[in-house]
Amino acid sequence: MPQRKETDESKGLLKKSKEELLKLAKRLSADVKKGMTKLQLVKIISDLTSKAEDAQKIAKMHIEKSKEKAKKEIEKTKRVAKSQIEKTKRVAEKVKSVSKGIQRSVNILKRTTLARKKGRDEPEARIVLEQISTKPVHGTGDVEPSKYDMGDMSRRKFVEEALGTLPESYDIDTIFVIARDPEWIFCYWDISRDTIRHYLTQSIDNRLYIKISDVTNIIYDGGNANRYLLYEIPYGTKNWYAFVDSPERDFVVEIVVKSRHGFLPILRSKTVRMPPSTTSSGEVRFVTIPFDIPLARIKEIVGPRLRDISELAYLLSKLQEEGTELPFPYVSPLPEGVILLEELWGPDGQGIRRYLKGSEEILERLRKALKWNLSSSDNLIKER
Amino acid sequence: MFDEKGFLAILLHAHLPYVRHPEFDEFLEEDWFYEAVSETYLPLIDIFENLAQDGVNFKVNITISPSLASMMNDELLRSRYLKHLYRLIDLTGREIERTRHQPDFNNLAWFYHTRFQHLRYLFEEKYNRDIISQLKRLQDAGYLEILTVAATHGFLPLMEDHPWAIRGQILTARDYHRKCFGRDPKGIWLPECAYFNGVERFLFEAEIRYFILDTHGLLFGKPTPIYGVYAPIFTPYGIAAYGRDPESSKQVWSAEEGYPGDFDYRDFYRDVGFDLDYEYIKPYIHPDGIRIFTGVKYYRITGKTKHKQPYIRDAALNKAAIHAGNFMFNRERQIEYLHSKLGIKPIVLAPYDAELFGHWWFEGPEFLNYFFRKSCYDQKIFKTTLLSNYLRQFPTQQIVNPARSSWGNKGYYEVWVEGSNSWIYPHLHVAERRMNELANYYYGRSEVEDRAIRQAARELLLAQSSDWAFIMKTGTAVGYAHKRFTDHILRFTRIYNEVKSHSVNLDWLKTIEERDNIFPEINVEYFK
Repeated sequence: MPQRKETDESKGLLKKSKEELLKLAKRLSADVKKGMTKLQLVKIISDLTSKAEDAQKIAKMHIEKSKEKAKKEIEKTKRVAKSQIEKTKRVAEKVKSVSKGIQRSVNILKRTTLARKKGRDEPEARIVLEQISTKPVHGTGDVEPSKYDMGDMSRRKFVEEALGTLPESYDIDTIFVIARDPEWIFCYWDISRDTIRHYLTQSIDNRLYIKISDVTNIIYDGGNANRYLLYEIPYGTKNWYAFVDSPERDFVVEIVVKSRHGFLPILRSKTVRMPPSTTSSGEVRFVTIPFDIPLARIKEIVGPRLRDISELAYLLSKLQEEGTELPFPYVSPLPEGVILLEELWGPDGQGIRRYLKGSEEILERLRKALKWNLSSSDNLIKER
Repeated sequence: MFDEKGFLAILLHAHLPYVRHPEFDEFLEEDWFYEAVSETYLPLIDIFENLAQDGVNFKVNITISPSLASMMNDELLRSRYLKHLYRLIDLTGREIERTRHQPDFNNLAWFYHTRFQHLRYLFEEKYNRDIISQLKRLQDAGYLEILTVAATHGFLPLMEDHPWAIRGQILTARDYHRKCFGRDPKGIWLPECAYFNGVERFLFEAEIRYFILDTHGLLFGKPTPIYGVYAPIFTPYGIAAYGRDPESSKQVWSAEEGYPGDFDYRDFYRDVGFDLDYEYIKPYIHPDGIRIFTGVKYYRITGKTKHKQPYIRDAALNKAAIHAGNFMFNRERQIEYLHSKLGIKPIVLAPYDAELFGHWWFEGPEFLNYFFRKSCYDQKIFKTTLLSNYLRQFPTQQIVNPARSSWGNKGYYEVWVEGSNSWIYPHLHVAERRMNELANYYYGRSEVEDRAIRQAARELLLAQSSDWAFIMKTGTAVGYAHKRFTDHILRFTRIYNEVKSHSVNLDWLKTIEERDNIFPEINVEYFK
């Protein structure tokens, strides 16, 4: 076919004059040289036109091909979509049948919430969540409070009950103190107006002071503290956080005035012991306490030697050490395991000294030590 | 059966403060309970029952605080929860329609829709609205050990000067536990693991045999126990104490390093309650128009990025299985090592807030499911155990006097005694002293006044919840915590004044009894 067409075209060209051919060749931007014969010109022109036609044909073919491909794709997509729709329909029907039982209750609920829904047009079409969401986060981001986390509660309002307000003072004389952690003592106080009036008459400077005394290993009489901290109490202040940083030491807190004879206590707290912040060594003692014998019964068994239940374990341990006959079996126990703490931190737990102040740090340290030991446990075992 | 080298005790601490407001048709903070039921309590029970049904040998320790148990038993909250569920079924039904052109979200809408329907089936039909009885059944079958907590999760070290207040917390808890679970609690979770030397005196009276301490509560004890936290100790009172294992804790607790931070897991904060058009979501958020979490969450953590991608349930479950395997492997190595080192069968105690599983870590219950199954079939190093069983099997332990401590941030009492919340204690302490006065001098005189005094005890207990101080500190719902604390103290004060002046207003008392109806059989004797 192309052959014939080419000849046809050549024939047509041959009928043209040389000038016409030259013009044509120039229009096709063919490489025309001077002194070319009419035949040469015809050849050049027909070559060029056939090349163009070929290109056109190839392009056409490509277009056809992609058309077909697209058609197939569309059909396939249609088929997939159809089956998806079928599938969804089936699932929907299944769910429909499942939820039939509760449909009634849902309807009831819908009716009850109808009032609120009323007047709402269907805005569904314009709400679309982005595939990748960048919406802001509402909440604290912490794990522990998450169970009370409902989002931003700043707009939450509450109805007040007509019960009044909490009083500033109960007009009583009281002082409360607690060892909050190895470093800090918290205390608050309340002093009645009469009491304050009474003491201020004896004050040399008309001021109240808070006195925090270290009373470790002494019987405190008001003047024999190992050391004490003294602060003037600003007017209206009724509580104090005192930094003492003294694990396992004992403190007493007083509210005092300065009189001509020295400090005059208005309120004196009980003695508090600051909690420990390190490991300790001491006598290792074991005891057998059968789980299914009630504590009240065990108390009876130990008998009148027990002055207070806070000694129960020690006393029972002593009895067991002495081989006393008891109505339950026990072993005269001696630990055979190694002291784990020494493994982790060296003797007396030197590694876990005071700089580890918080539970988190303690945990972190423990965790790392354990991890290290876990990964090197084989070596340790072999060495022994 | 195999000869184990040691034991693992999983302990889930389930607690919520008592939140119940019959004076309103809907009350936002009640959602704490509804969400925890949907995301934690029901899924966990469902998983435990399936494990039992499949013959998997597993043991779990769980604390059910008396205030939580009271909510589970309350008819009003039960029916409101059901209403809450129906609303979510309705919402997710609409979500299926809305997301029809977004296959990722559409799958999730279907997932939530069927999930809420399943929860409804469990709660309404299978459990007959009675969660407590399901827990009891699992307990009676030997899978579950249920510990108690102080009645309203009161922070005991701050009551140290008022023994009757601690007795009131502990013995009321014991009584209510007995009523719920048909037996006395053998173990207690001291609220916030907050310990002071001598709290055992009150446990002794309640015949409670063990309690839980944070790691350093044991390690800083006198003397430091030779087995660390890998065996219980007896305190001088003869009551046992277990210490928290730091390693297994961290793997789950840590928001960043721990499993729950995995990028495939569901993001906690991205919720349709906030993300969707206001008009559309309005019926499902608070009636005042405050946007809240609905529990329908479409995105995964994705990464340390604000650009969150859709949640893929299968990928998340796959991750949960991988993490369960990792957790098991680590426990195997840990227990193997401890066994070889200590020469005993150690116990590793892994305590967590129950609400961490499901509520914060959505896939947490599935993690436990995979973990128990794997541990039962794929390893021969450790067994899961109940805390009672270990003490029964190993009644010989070291005597150690534990250290004052808590499991709160920094390990002592700071979280509950600091600038945001220490103002509550003067009021609490006065109320405690007044309660003692009412019990000692006014109780048993007239029927109406006795009734009022019983209500006073309830008000005091409700004011004592450590949750109020915690919330004030962490800032999640400060307004509500303020309101609750103040309301209970003021109600208490009014009753106190009315009883003392013999002028009890019965109508008002009835209203308050109806509102704060916790512990109907409260025993005033404990407050003497």
